[in-house]
Amino acid sequence: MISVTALSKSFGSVRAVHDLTFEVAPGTVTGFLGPNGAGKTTTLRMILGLVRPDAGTALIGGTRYTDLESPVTKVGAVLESTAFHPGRTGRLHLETLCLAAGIPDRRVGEVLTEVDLLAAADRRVGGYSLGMRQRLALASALLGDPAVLVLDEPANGLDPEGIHWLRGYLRAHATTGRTVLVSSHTLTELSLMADDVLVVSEGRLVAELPAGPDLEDEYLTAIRSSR
Amino acid sequence: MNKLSALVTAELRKVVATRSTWLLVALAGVCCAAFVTLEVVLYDVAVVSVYSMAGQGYVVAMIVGILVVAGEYRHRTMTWAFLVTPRRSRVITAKLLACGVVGLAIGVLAAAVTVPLALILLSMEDGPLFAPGVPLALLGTIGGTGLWCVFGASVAALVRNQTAAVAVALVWTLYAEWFLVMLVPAVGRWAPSGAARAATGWTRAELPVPGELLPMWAGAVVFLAYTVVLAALARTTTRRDVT
Repeated sequence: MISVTALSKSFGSVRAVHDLTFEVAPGTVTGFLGPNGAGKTTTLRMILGLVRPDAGTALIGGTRYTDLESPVTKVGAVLESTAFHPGRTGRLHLETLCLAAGIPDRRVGEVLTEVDLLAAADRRVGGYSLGMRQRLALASALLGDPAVLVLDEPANGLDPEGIHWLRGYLRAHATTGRTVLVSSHTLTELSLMADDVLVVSEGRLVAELPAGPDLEDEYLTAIRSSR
Repeated sequence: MNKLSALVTAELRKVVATRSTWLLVALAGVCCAAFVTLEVVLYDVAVVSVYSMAGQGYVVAMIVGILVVAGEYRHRTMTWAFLVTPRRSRVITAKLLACGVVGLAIGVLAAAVTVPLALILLSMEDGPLFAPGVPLALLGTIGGTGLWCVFGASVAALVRNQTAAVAVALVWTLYAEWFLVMLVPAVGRWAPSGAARAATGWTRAELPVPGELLPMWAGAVVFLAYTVVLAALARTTTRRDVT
C-alpha cells in the first residue's frame, strides 16, 4: 500500500508537484498517467526518498521509504533505463546490489532468468540495447522480492514482445496481492496494463479512472477540464 | 540496516571490475618509475628522497578516488546506491573506506616498483644504497597514497561533476600547490601537497628557492587532518535531491 498525502515539491520557481494525494491499493496495477512534465517522475522519486518533498508525506505501508528496514526487500524501483556503468556487466551490477543489500547471491540468477537476460548477463552494459537495460533495471527491482513495485516508464525501449511480457508480469505480480504503481505518458499502454489510472497534470491529480476502452476519452475530458 | 563491511566490499568489487582502475594503476607505476629515475639522474639528493618517489602514485590515487564517487553521479548509478541505503552518509562513508583500501594498495604497488628500481639506479652511482630513514619514508608514501585516494573521493562528493572534479583536483595539486611548494615554501608547506610530500620523507634541497617542508610527522598529521576534514564535509553533502 502506497499513501501519498498533500505532497508538494518545487524546483526553484517551477512547481513540479502540488498538493497531490492518492492511494495505491495492494492487488492492483495502478497506472500513473500524465503529459510530459506533469510531475510523475518527481512524485515517484519522492515516494522512493530520492527527492525531499517541500510538504506532505509519501508512505509505503505506513512508513517513509527512508525509514524502511532493508528497503529493497520491500519496494522495488525501476527509474532510469540508462542508470548503469557501461563498463560493468549486468551480473556484476546485480551482484554488488545483492552484496550491499544483504540479499543472497542466488537471487541474481533467479531474476536474470525471470527477465530473460541470462544470456547477456556477462556482457558489459555499454553494449546493451535500451530494452536490455530496461530488463536489467527490472531485474534489479526484483532482487529483494519486494511486495511493492514502483516503475517509471518501464516500457520505454521495450519491443512489442517485451511490452507484452511486462504487462503479463505486472498483472501476475498484482494478482499475488502485491502493489504495482507504473507511470507512463502512453495512454494505450496503461489501458492494457493497469486496473486503475491516476491522471496527473501540472503536478495535480485531475482524475482517477478505471482502465478500459474508454480511457482515452475520459483522460482527454479530465485533462481539458483541469485547465 | 545493511552492514558497512558489506557496502565497502561491494564498492571494492566495483573498483576491481572497472577497466579504468587498472589503466590508472599501471600509470601510477610508470609515474613512480619515471620520477625515481629523474631524481637519481638529475639531482644529487639524499637517499631518502629517492625512495620517497614511491609516493608519486598520489595523483593517480586521487583520480581513482574521484572516479569512485563522481563516476556514480556521472552514470547515475548513485540512485541504486541510495535506494539500497537511504542513509546516504553511509554510502559515502563506505566509498571513502573503500578508497582508503584501494589507495593503500596503489601505494604498496608503487613502492614495489620504486624500491627495486631505486636500488638498481643507486648502485650505478657511487653513493650509499640505503639510509636509516628509508623504511619510515616508504611507510609515509604508502599511507599518503591511501589518504590521497580518500582525498580525491571527498573532493568528488563535494563537486559531483566528474570532469570538473578531475580538472580542479589536477590543476590545484599539480600547478597551484606545487607552485607554492617550490617558490613560496612558507605557505606551500602547509598546503595538502606540501604536507603530504613532507610525510614521504622528501626534502626541498634540490629546489632553487631555499626553505623547508614540515617535519615528516607534522606533514603526516597535517595531511591527515585535511583528509579527515574533507571527508567529514563530503558526508554532509548528501541532502540534495537525486533527480
